Amino acid sequence: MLVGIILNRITWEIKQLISELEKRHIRYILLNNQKIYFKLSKKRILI
Amino acid sequence: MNGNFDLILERSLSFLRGMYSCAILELKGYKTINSYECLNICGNKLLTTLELIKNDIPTPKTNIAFTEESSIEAIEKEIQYPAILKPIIGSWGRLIAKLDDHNSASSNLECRESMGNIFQKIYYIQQYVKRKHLEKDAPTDIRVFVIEDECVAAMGRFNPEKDFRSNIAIGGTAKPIEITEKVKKLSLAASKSVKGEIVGVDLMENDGEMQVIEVNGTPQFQGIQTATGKNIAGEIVNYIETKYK
Repeated sequence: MLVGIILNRITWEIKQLISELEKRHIRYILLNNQKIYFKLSKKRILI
Repeated sequence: MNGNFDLILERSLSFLRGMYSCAILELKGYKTINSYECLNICGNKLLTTLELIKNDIPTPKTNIAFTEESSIEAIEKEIQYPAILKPIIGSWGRLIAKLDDHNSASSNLECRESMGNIFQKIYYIQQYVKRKHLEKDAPTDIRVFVIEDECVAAMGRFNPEKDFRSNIAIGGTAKPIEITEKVKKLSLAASKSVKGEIVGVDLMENDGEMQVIEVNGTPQFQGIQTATGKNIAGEIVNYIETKYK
């Protein structure tokens, strides 16, 4: 399972969620909206 | 980066950035929690109130006005003083004002009219819920953390001595409370009305009736986890693992 987490900074809550995901060996990717951009097109949207 | 996500969990502290990210990611076909639709409703107090009314969920008497003059008229003819003026978009109790009389109403409204952003000029005016009839140790309001069909935790929030607002972010304190059948039923109904999956529902007792004040689409949980000792992060991850794996 792969979970994306949209965030804008690493808070206590984000750390808690990461810890719980790691306990269950669930993969995750942090999508920091301060750092990513979305490429919009009809065919696909890239993060 | 182009991940093949099973699920996107929206936890941005910036409401608009989080919501628009979900709008884009949903178009790509990803499941987001909460959905763009839910975030849009919960992030806007006017839209939330409309959904609550549509679904017959009790909520305090509220008026909307678009000018300073019509706001004063709404307060003096309908709501009465004291009244609460809230920005339709905003969180953590910011810019919520208690209007005790004509002078405080007109000065607050004038400030918003001349300095506020466009959303602050949509005047969301709500009845002030009086606390006099309640017992001394009754909470100012109740926050219930809802995950789909379950109320996983609830806390009573207490306003600081010199503020009428009870938000933890501005100095409110919290204690765990029992989730009564009435609170459970209202919280789940409120969550469904805004198409919520993981939400925080705020309730208050008004003249003996429990009412829903608002629903938070990106509910913070540090306060409720600390107050109740419940592992909210664990509950969220259990839920997504069970439902979306």
